[in-house]
Amino acid sequence: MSVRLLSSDSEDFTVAKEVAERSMLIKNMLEDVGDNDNPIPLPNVTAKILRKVIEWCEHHLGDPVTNDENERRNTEIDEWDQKFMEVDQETLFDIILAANYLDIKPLLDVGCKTVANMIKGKTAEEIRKIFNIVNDLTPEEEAQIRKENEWAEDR
Amino acid sequence: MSFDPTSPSDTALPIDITYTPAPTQPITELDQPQHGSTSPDDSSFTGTASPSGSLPCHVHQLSIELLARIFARLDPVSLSVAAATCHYWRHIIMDDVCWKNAFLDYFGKLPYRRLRSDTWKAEYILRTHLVRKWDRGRGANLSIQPKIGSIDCTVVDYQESFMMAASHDQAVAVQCNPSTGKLDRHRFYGWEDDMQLPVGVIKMDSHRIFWGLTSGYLNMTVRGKNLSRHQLKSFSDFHQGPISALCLPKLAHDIVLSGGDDGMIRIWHIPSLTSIEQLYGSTSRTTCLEATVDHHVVAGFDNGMIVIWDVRLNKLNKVPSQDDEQDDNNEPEAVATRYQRRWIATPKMDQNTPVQSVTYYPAQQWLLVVYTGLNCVYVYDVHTCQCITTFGQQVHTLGTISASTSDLDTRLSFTDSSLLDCPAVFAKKTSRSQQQKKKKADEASPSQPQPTGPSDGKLAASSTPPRPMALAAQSVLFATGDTLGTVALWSLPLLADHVNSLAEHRATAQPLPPYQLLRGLHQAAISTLYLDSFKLVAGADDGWIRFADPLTGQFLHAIGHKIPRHAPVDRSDMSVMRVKTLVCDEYRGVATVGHQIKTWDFSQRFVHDRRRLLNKKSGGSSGASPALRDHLHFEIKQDLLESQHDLAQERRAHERHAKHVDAWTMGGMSEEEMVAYAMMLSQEQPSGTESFDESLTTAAPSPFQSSQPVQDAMYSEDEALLQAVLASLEMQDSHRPDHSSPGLPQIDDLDQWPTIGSTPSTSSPPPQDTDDDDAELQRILKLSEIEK
Repeated sequence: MSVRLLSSDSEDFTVAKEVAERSMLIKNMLEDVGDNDNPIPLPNVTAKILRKVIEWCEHHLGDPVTNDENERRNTEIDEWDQKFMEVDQETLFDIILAANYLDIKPLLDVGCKTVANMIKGKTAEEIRKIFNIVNDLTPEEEAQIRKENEWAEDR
Repeated sequence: MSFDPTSPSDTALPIDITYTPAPTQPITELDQPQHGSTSPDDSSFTGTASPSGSLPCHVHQLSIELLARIFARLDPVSLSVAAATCHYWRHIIMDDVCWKNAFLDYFGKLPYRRLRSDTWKAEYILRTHLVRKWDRGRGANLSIQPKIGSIDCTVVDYQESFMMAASHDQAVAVQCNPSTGKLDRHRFYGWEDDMQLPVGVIKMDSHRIFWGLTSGYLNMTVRGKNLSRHQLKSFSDFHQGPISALCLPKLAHDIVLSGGDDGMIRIWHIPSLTSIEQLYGSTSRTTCLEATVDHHVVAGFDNGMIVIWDVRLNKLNKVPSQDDEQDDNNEPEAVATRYQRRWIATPKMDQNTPVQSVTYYPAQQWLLVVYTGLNCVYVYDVHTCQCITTFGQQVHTLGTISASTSDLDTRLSFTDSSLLDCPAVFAKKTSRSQQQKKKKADEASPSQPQPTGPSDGKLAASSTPPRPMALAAQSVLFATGDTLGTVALWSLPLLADHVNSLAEHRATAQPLPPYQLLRGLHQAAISTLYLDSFKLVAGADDGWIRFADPLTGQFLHAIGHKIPRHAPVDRSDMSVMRVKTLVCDEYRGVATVGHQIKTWDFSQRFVHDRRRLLNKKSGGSSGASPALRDHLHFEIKQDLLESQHDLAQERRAHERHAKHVDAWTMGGMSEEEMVAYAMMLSQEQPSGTESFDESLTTAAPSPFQSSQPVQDAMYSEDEALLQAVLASLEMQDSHRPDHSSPGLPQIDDLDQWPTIGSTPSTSSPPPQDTDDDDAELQRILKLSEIEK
């Protein structure tokens, strides 16, 4: 049994139903419409990203669906996922957005972990550089923030 | 952002609240970033923060929810740094929910008790900080050897830097400083005359020690300000047999309860040192005794029985009344029946199950009872004495429960406020002193009387501020440790829910799941447990102490019992190896392991702070009036100079006097010594081969003898000499026998002798006698003159 998915740029993907059902959105849709040969339109996801997402879903097909707390607390990302996430930032954030839209929680978690690891242990300036964030804080605000964060310095 | 941590939504708020599975509105533009679609006010932030040209800022495509989700994975430091990057991020992170989610992500669940009730930021920072501190376990680590035998009982007061350790074996208590390890020389004994006999039980608070003697008497030592004030008092009545349990009720400070081997419970009035009430308990030894805040006295006995009385300890008649004596005279049972006596029989009739501990849970009016030799905790209603439920048997499957505790009494007061004094976070920034005052008030509040009746619970809750009550109701944990080293934590409010659900559908009785299970925390039987709002500390029979985080169940650190490998210690002797008591505060702890006390302090920062605080305090008092300080300094200096001057003068006078005395006594000789010396000198003289002359020379001390005949009478030699002198004098036909002798020794020439004798106090010796010996003899002459 397979499902047809239509990306925003009108590319047609045919995937196994189990793979597609990693996405709660698609799973719910399939339940709603029943057996139907029409492609499911995914207007928020481009073909490029959808391909990535499908790749991820296929790899993690056998994963047990757990909502365990320890699973969530686990900050390590497994090797395959790390490789999978070695993409440019635009793609990374698109994957996160797509995971959010498609409601694929494990993928969203992996994405968030990846970004969080990029932030961890950096200085504010380094973070700005990584993400091309423009520093829009006034010197007064910065001084205030520095004061707030005094506790963090001698750790 | 104000955030009420105790609002009902607080605990129910899952992380998913920020997680929107699918946008509800139709999305038309494919490449349009999603930000701004969910929150009306974030578009302005993205607008200001988006790069002005060169490079696209992809991260701002993410919605607030997604960014918050990412931030929830950060540690406190990274989160604070992230807040300093731009307005948009700052806006997100300023929201306390972000911190709460980060907390949830880090610890997995919400805390069973808040360390800080103000913000989740504070809670998150504090808890991670504490976990790190206790995990690393860096800091001072002391072992104190009080040498009083196996230590059974301690009381610690960190504010006063004071602790007491007491030993049952020798009935002795010693005071020491837990942070420096300095032992007080003075010891307290449970007996009047240092008999060092064992006592049955010792109970201490910061200023009193109660000694339950094996003879059935109760003694009390009051720790005064100075040593002379320490006094041992004996109460005027006694138990029939050793005292085995003592209880100091929180409500009535002038009351102490004791339970003995005779199964009686006595209530003692401390000021009058009398027994004002006695309650008949059971036929066997009292193993534990509790006075609850709502006027129940609960006693557990060796035969597994638990007896409960309703006694208002603070309303007791403080003087032994006439009735008492009459009752005593008639039949003792009458006294016991004055108070309603309820009892709970042992759950296993065929086993010997002494009551190990009874914990009272005031919110539900439950008794949590642990029996020695059983593997579960029995829950009884204090009023009906019915067994409500049991728990723990599915966890402690193989071992039996050997230790239990609850965090009812251990309110962790966090004094290290400097850590979190961020003005922007705490809008109403209070000064340190105010915060401490507040903390003190918080500390004081739990000891307030709890609701008295079952229906009073809600009334009391509404009369007091709802926050502490709600917290107290939510946050009680009960810990059980078994003989195999496993520790389980049980949430009592969860237990209440469990019981309620049990009442509804009795058929589907699922065992209560533990709040947290630490399997194999120790390799040996757990001997003691300590639980507070942040950590679990477990001591075992093998002398190891392990720390764990009750929230995550994470093992943090261990402190070992450092006995050298080949030390001649019997490792099976529990009095040497077992961890007996544990007391901790935020960074510090005191444990007694066998004969020694171990203390640890993981807070460098705390020490610094304290020092700074102390400096500030002392500096503040003197800095208030520098003129006065200078004046005082000047005065002190003047006083010092004056006293130094006095001292110097005194010393000089003393020296002069000493010289004087020396001159007379020839360097501190006694009279006899001088006589002997004079004799020796005269004997050494080369002249006088003739016996006559010799006899004269040896007769030199005669004046002494004549002046002090009693003193020298004992010397027969001297007497002989006296005879000789007398004889010589007779032969000489001297006309002056009194003054004859002094001149005699140094005279070679007999012609000269009368002249010398006529001037006994002569300062000019004869010209021929110029050698040293003569000078000395002259002195003796002088002396003899003075003697007369």
